[in-house]
Amino acid sequence: MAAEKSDRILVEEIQRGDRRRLAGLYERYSKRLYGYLLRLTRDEAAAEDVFQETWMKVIESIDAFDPARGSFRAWVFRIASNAVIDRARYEKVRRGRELDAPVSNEEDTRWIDHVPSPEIGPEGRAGAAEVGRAMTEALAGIPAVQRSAVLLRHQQGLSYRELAVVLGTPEGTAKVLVHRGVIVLRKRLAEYVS
Amino acid sequence: MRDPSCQRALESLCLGLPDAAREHLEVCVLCREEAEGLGRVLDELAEGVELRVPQRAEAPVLNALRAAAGPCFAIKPLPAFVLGALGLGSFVTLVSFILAQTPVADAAPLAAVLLVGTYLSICAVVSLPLLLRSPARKAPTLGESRP
Repeated sequence: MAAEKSDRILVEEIQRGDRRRLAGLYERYSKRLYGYLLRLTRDEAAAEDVFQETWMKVIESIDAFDPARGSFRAWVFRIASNAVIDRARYEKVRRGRELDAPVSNEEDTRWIDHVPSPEIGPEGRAGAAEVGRAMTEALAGIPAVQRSAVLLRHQQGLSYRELAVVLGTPEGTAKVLVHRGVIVLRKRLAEYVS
Repeated sequence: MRDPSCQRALESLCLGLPDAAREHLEVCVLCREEAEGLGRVLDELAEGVELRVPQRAEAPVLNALRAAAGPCFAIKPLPAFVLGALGLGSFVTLVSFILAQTPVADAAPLAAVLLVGTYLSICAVVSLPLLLRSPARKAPTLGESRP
């Protein structure tokens, strides 16, 4: 809450014309955003591209941000999530796959399901700690929207209200996504945590 | 699941709301064990919450931030405009006096006023676009359109 309030003050100053304050927001969220993107995509190049794209959009659109509609943090993660899906769609087109395939109406298979599952190369397997590697594999195995929901809640600590803004779902749906995702992870990691 | 209260406790833990499960965990040994395992999963999930951003990804963003911040001295649009307008006024008056060949006793104060007037005029010109730019553009529709 305190962070949200101070974000709001920074944003107000920026919107009044003091663009130097943008650096404060960047300082606060750059590492968190990169941590989220890397775990969501498990692809350094993709994470870096989306990271840059997100901040360029923040700089460009900060005057249009309305704090009444949600926190700055939710806004940034929303932009990043949109950029991830845009990139995934572009990749699909580039690879000549079926364009804009109809997406199921089911809760768990919406926009973010275009995001491919993380791929874990042999270097990653060797370098990561066993439980960390198992977690990466377990995350790769759950639907992308659940993966995103679980990471935003349990890695980034977003509130359910913020999560709903990022995912574009009602709060109740966001809760269901987190719950289902964690249950699947718990099952898949049973041998490591029992 | 053992009973509905166990189910609720597990749900709360999965949702990251441990306070809601605390009371139940105090009395249910099986759920406590389950919670420990779940805790390890959640701890592992929380890893990498902050990661150092590679320089190649950060550099263009930092450049854009510097460009957005503008020059190191910040011009407050309104005061600069008012001062600039005054300066412009004095400058114009002065020039008109000079053109009219009004006798001036001392040339030094005249030169100083001319200098300050020129500087403030530049302030007015620079601050006018800042002043005219409206900070409150159309609000985004979070959750619907893409900012």
